[in-house]
Amino acid sequence: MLGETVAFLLLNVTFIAVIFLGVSRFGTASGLYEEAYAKQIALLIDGAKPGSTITLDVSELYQIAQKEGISPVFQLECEKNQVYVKSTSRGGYRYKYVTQLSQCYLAVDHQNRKVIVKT
Amino acid sequence: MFNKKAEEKYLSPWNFFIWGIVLVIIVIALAIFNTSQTDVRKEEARIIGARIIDCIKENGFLRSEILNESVDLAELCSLNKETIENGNFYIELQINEPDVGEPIRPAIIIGNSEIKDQCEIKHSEKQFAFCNTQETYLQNPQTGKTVYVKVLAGSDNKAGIQ
Repeated sequence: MLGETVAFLLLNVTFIAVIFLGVSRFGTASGLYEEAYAKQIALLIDGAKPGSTITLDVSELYQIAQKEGISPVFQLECEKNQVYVKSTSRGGYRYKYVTQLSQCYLAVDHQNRKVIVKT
Repeated sequence: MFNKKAEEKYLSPWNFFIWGIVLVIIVIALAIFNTSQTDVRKEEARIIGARIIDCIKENGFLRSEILNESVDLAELCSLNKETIENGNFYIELQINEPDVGEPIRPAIIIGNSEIKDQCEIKHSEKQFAFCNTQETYLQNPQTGKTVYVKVLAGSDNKAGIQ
C-alpha cells in the first residue's frame, strides 16, 4: 500500500517535471523573436528614405539573451543584403532586404537596448 | 453480487493515460507556436511598391529619368538589383495615358516574373507569393499632361536563413 502510494507520487512528480522542462525549454520562443526582429529591421530599412536613421527598441530580445548568458547579436551583412539576429547559442536568423544601402551602419546601444541603423 | 472491482489500482492507469494526452497536447501547442512564422511578404510588397512610387515622383511630376528607356530603376531607387533578381521579388512599373491606357514608355520589369503569376492565383495556399499594387497620377514633365502610374510589387521572401 505504501509502495503504491510512493510510486503514484513519484509518477506525479515526474509528469509535472516533464511539463515544466518542456515549457521552460520551448516557452521562451527565442527563435520567433529572432525572426520577428530580423524581419522588422529589414522592413524598416526597405521602408526608410535614403539618409534616414532608424532606432529600434530590442529590450525583449535582451531578456531572452540574458537567460542564455549572452548578449544578443545584431549584424548587417551588407555584401549579402541581409540582417542577422541571434539571441541564443544556437544559429540565429537571417533575412534579406532589397535596399542598396549607401553605408553599412548598424550600432547596438547595449545600455538602452536599442539598435540603430543608418540607410 | 456483480463481482465488480473498484480499487484505485484500476483507475491509476487511466489517470496517467489522460495526463499523457494532456502532455501531448501541450507539446503540440508549443511546437505550433514556435514553428509559426511571422509572414511579412504582403507588407514587404506594399513597402517596395510605395518606395518605387515615392522614388519616381518629384513635386507631383514624374521624374524625367523614368521616361528614358535605358533607365535602371533599381539604381535610381537605391535598390539592390541582385537581391531582387535572385528569385524572391518582382517589380513592374507601368506608365500609361490615363484615358486611352496607351503606355508612354515600355513597362519596367525587374525580378522573377513567376511571382506575378503566383499573385494572380487565388491565395488558398500560403506558399504563394504576395503582391501589392500602388497607383497614382503624376504630371509628365515633357508634355505637362497627366499620366497614370501603376507599380506591381511582389515578394516571396519567406525563407529566412538560420
